[in-house]
Amino acid sequence: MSGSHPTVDGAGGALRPLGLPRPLQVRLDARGEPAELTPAARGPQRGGGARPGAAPSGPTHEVERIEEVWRIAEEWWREAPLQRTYYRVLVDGGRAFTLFHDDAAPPEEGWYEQRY
Amino acid sequence: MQTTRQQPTAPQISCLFVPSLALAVELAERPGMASGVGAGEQPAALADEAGLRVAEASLAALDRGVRPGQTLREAVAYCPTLAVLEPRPARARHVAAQLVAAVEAVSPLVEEAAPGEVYADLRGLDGLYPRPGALEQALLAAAQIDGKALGGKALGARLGVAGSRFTARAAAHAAAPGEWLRVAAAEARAFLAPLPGEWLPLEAAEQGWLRLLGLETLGDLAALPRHAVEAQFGPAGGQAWLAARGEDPTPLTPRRFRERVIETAQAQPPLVSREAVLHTVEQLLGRALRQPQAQRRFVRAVRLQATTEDEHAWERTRVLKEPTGDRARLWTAIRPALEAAEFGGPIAELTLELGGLTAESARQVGLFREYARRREQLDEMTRHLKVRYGQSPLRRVVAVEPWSRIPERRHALIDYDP
Repeated sequence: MSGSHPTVDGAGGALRPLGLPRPLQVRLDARGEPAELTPAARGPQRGGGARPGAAPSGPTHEVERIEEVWRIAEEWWREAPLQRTYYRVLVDGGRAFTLFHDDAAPPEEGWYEQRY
Repeated sequence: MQTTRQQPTAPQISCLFVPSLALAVELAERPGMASGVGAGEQPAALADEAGLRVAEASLAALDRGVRPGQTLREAVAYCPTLAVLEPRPARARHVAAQLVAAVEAVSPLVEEAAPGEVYADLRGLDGLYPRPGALEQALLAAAQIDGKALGGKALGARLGVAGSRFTARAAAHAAAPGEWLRVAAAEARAFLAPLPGEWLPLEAAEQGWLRLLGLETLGDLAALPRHAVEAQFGPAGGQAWLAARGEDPTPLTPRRFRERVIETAQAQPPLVSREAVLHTVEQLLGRALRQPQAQRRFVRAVRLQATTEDEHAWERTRVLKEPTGDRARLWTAIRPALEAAEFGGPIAELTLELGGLTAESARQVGLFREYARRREQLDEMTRHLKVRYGQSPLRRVVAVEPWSRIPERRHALIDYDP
């Protein structure tokens, strides 16, 4: 994922970012928008969330409606600028997800769920 | 009863010299450019921190009329093929410190006169390096820092050894890059005689006066009577006269051993928010105070250093009015410096140094200590947990960049480790 999270090296005393994105598997429809998503299963990791890079293995949800789409482009001066396209979607069962696509990755890859 | 008086060992001073260290570091780290600052290579100049003027120039650039202090526009007009390099003061400082540390591994008495100009007192080291030339090789090897990236030859380090400080410096200047030159005391005057008078440690005005008097070489000066030189140049002239004769009496001023505690943190990607820097330094302070050297000691000075991702340096030193070992008071003393700091870029490395360590002394406690007592109980409990689990299992949430559009940048967990 471009624009990685700030961490600080050293013996102990690391800054551990909260609310790290969780990887998602997303199937796209003909227009290139999310049609189906499979979140990562909650693992035994600290914080109850999957780490970036963990394989998604939770239940699959059909996307019923995309409520909002927005883009974030930050740190354009870096070699790997952070560019994300966010989707606020409603899935079957009425649950809402906020997910984003890391625009540096191919369309079918680089999908994450973002918790606020 | 017969007494014998031991003859004092003749002084032996070495000078390890890297011309234009900051420029040499930049050239050594650029594989596409010829390394070193020799005359036959591509002309290169190092810009100053403002990026407006020439700070240092290679010999090839000097040959084409480039001079330190010129504007870059002027310099490029003199030398259209000039390669202008952006300075990285933190990198140069790091290499200079490595150079000193490496020489200290050979001799305990080391003085850094300037970045890239390191003197060492070699008296008594003959027993450790009995083979002729072994001591010089060991000192030159000190310039082989940073592994392959900055070899001694790449930096253009050279070494001079002599009985006096100035002669050692002159020998180092005269030696070829990567080579050493030893000047025996008896040969010092003859060695110095043909060297230019500009090498003398005199101010620019005095150098100009020297030229006006037609004194071009050190030999010209040494041939005059001392009183005549002192009449023109004052006490500095007397010193210069002695130096020109190979009798420079200036002693080495070895840097004093300072007990200190240093903690460093590297951030990847570099920290862009002041809050992240504050939290990191607060953590460093906690870690530094937990080091054994700082236990039950008071701290008199705190030095903060930050290096940006472009290798620009920021540094502040806070000397406390009253030494303290209390983390909260130390944090109160250094926090304003961080809040007012202008770093000049995202921070890639932070270093905190506690200096002036003194013995713990009595202090007046406050009357109303309920909050402090609760905090002490929490800290004590945390220490117990740390003994049990090896690390503090407690964390606290801190706001890092609460305004950030990127949610995972807004808050972070840091160890609660008193």
